[in-house]
Amino acid sequence: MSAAAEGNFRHSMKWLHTWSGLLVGTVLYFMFITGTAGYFNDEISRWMQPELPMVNGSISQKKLLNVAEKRLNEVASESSQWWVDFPIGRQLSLRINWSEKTKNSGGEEGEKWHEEVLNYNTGKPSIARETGGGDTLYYMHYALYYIPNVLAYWITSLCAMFMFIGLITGIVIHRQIFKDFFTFRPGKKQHSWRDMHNVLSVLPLPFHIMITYSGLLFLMFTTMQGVISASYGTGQQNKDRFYDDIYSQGVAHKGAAGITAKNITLSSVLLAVEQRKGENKLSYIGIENRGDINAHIELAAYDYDGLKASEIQIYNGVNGELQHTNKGDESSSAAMNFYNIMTVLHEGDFANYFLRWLYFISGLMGAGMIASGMILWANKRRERANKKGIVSKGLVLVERVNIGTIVGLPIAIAIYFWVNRLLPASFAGRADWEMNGLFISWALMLAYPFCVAHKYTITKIWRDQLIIAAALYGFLPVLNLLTTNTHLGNTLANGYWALAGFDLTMIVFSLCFSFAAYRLHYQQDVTKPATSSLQAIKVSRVKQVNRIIEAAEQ
Amino acid sequence: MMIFANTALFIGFFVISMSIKRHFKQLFPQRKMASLKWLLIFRTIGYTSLLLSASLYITGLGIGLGLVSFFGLLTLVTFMQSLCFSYKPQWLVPIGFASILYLIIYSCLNI
Repeated sequence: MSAAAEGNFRHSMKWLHTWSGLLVGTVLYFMFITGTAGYFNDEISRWMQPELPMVNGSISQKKLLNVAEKRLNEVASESSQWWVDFPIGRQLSLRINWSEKTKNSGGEEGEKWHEEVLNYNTGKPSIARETGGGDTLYYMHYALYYIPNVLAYWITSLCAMFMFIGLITGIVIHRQIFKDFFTFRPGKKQHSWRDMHNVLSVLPLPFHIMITYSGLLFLMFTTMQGVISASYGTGQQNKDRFYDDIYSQGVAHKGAAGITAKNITLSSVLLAVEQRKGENKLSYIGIENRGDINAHIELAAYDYDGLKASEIQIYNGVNGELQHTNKGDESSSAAMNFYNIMTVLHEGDFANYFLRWLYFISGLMGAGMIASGMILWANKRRERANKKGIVSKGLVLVERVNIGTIVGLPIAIAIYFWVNRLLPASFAGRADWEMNGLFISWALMLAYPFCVAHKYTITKIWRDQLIIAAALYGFLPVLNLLTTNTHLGNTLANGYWALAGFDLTMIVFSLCFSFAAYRLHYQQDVTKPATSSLQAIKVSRVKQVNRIIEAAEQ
Repeated sequence: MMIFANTALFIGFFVISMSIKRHFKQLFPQRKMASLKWLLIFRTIGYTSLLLSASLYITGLGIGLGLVSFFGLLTLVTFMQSLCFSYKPQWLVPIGFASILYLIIYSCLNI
């Protein structure tokens, strides 16, 4: 390739990189922030339900299962399915589920599922406040909120595709990717922002590529419907056939035979498993077709073999014989295995706490990459605009949306946590209102720069929102102390690190926002109040016209 | 073994940074710039150390988990190193040489 052609190619890639990032930057930032929070969804959910009992992981699973079976016998003696989730690893509660047969008005049979979190001391269900928890934050990163799922999948897929284009073009345009590997030059305005964008892009590049590509794969069943139709035909029936083919795991679970039989207890299977595998290793245990001759008991250990989840074991529910061991991907095709590995990598289920923190940090760096890219775009044009005296409406818009997004979204998430603590525990629809609180506050943070732009500079508006964020995150542990017993004094003293970790992380976030606000306090304002910028557009346009007229007259 | 792998990872990037002129000057402001031959030697040692670290991760944790852990920690180590270069480059030299010393002693004791 000649130098000129290479220059043109790089220039085209630069254009693509800039616009693919800018167009969907806000949605991508939202996806990265909420998705990153999702790596601690269980811990966030647990913090948002302070009424649940604090479970010490060392309690015997035999004792816990006795408590669970006793409760299930009381409330679900007729149910055909029982499931018990043990508190182990990141699972922080003793949880039981059972199904109840229902009939609708047309006489069609169905199933209704019930769930309870048990207090292992009393054996009674713990009544906890309704909340969206960390799961809703996680769910939002691909399904968004307030809009139909399919539309959301299309939007998030499209944004992920733009992100992927941004990554590839970013690698192409970055000439000195290895030379600049460690380079961050603070206090050099535009150079500093570019360095920060590079550092946050290049250092976690394997993570960025993996998370974006696997994200695209995750939603391919929505976006690649044509491929499925081409092989299986159109219509719901053919679609179901496709899903049956790819998700069948080689285990034919027998349905109920309709012949009553006495089943063995879950505790007896647990005892046998513990003798072989050791105590307190299970993640869950459950029984299907309860009371029937075809009853079977399913269980799995809380363990990963590398990236693979532990095998699922299925026992005969009548005589307790081991019927089947499901190792997951033994019968899957190479393509399915690849899909499974990519989705497992994306979700990070296998990750221990150390690796989970690395995921979290990489996710935040991804959000930082997007944010620094958006700021870089605006600052570059602001510098040019200040020199020329012409400020475009697009620049003013991006500058204000940047503030409302980059700091506004974290503020909105903090409000989500505040609403959880401030709304009465019995408030009807409180989970919905937590989320409404998040979006209302985000809308306010987006509107704020537009409302105060006539009297404040952009730097002052950044600083205001950073101070708000610092205060909201900093006082969250204080609010927790005032409203619950699961405050730092209690959680640290008892070694409940999942709960203590949440409060400590909020304090760290508060310190980061405070530091950013402090640094901005000493930064020179590069912008005048924004309305005068708009006036500047008019004045400079008049000047331009005058210059043209003068030139024409000469 | 994981501590050994982490140390090798840090040393790998420390030595690679020595092979970049800008960072060499930051690390050793009093010294004369190393010759091209030395820069190449640093680069080779650095990449070898990274390969050693990756192979230790894979041996210890399996290919899947090993690679995920290696790249996860790589991000953290390089980020910390990048912050050090920006604010406290003088810290890197003692930490780097202490790590090399640790790696040598550990290797001698385990051979």
